[in-house]
Amino acid sequence: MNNKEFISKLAKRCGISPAEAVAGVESFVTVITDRLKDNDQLNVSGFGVFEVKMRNERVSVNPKTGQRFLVPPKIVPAFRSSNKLKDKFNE
Amino acid sequence: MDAKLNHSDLSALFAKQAEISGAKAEIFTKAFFDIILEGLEKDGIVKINGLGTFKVTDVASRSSVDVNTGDKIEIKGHKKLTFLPADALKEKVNQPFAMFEPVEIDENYVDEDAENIPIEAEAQENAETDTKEVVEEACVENNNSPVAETVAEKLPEDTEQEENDKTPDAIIESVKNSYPLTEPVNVTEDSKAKKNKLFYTLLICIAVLLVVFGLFLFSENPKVAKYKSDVAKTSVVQPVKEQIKDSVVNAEPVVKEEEPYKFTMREELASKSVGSIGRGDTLLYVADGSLATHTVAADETLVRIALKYYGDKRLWPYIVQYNKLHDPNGLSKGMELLIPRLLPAK
Repeated sequence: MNNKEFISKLAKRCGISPAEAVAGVESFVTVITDRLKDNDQLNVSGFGVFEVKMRNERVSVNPKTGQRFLVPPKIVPAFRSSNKLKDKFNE
Repeated sequence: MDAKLNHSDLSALFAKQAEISGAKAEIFTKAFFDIILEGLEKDGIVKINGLGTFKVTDVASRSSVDVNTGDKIEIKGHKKLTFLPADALKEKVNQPFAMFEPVEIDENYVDEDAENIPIEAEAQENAETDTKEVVEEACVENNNSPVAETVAEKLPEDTEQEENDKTPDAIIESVKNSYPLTEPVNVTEDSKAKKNKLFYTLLICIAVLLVVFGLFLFSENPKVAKYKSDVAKTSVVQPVKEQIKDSVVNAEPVVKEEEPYKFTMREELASKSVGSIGRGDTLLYVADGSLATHTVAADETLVRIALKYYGDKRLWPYIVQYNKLHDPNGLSKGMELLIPRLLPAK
């Protein structure tokens, strides 16, 4: 399911126009992004948890050239699916 | 910051952001995740612009070991939901560290851990082979000890680093320190060691300074007293004595004028043989009329009263004498005392 399908389904479900749905998704994503930026944890019951994780700096090696790089630390968004969902997919 | 938000918090925030009613936001949020789930069940993949891609992936079966029994077990293959964040989301979340870029490490750089181990091994070999030659052993010991030192120095640094890693700000600093140099890590390590040494020397310096300061304070008091008395002898006493006489003649013992009294009497006493009053044999002062009437307050002692009026607590016996008190310790609150005016005895 791509973004287009998702939008049209969402519009139908909520009884709004696709344009409104696009705007809605945009602002919803903004909310999620802003929360994650503030290190918040978003817990959606029955779905999973959105959170951010800290990745330390590390040394990586290019296997071809043997060239070594120091990769800087970074913060990455992460998602953990709920146990309910795990069971659902494995039925 | 670091808050845990649930479904309703999310929809409330969304309602605020999109400026729609709470109920609508609730419906939207629910539909949002429901449709993702439906899509996953149908296609196994859902892509949302700006957020990322949800995907159901297969995990192959693998063999493992039972932690309790040690038996080999097989973990069966299963499906799991993965989330691949969109670039926009990644970028925004990583904003605090956005200024960093991967840096090429100089080839000459040798990992310090790798460097240390061979040295130690060599030292051990030396120790085994050259047991007879004492000089060599000494050398080996010398070799050993710096290594041990460096290792010891590194250990706290490592823990520090680990601590730093926990806080993003601290890591920014540490990375800033090591980063823009584009120099091998061993250099930064050295600088850290230097910093550590600097820190210790600073600590020692501060400790020494504190000790010196403490000694100075300790020795200061007598010095100051000496200095004061010197000053009093040379310049203050004569004019101030005259002042006293003047003020006595004026017979206006206003509180404001007590200030010079205090000072001068103290200085006079300091300039004369200290403690002569304590003997009680010689009278330095003669009572001449009363200066004021003092009502004793709670917790007040004769010593304090003497200090208040004369600036010298040793003069309290004059008050006792003047008031003909039987028991100097029997002061009570509200008692009225006459404070004698003291003139130097001839």
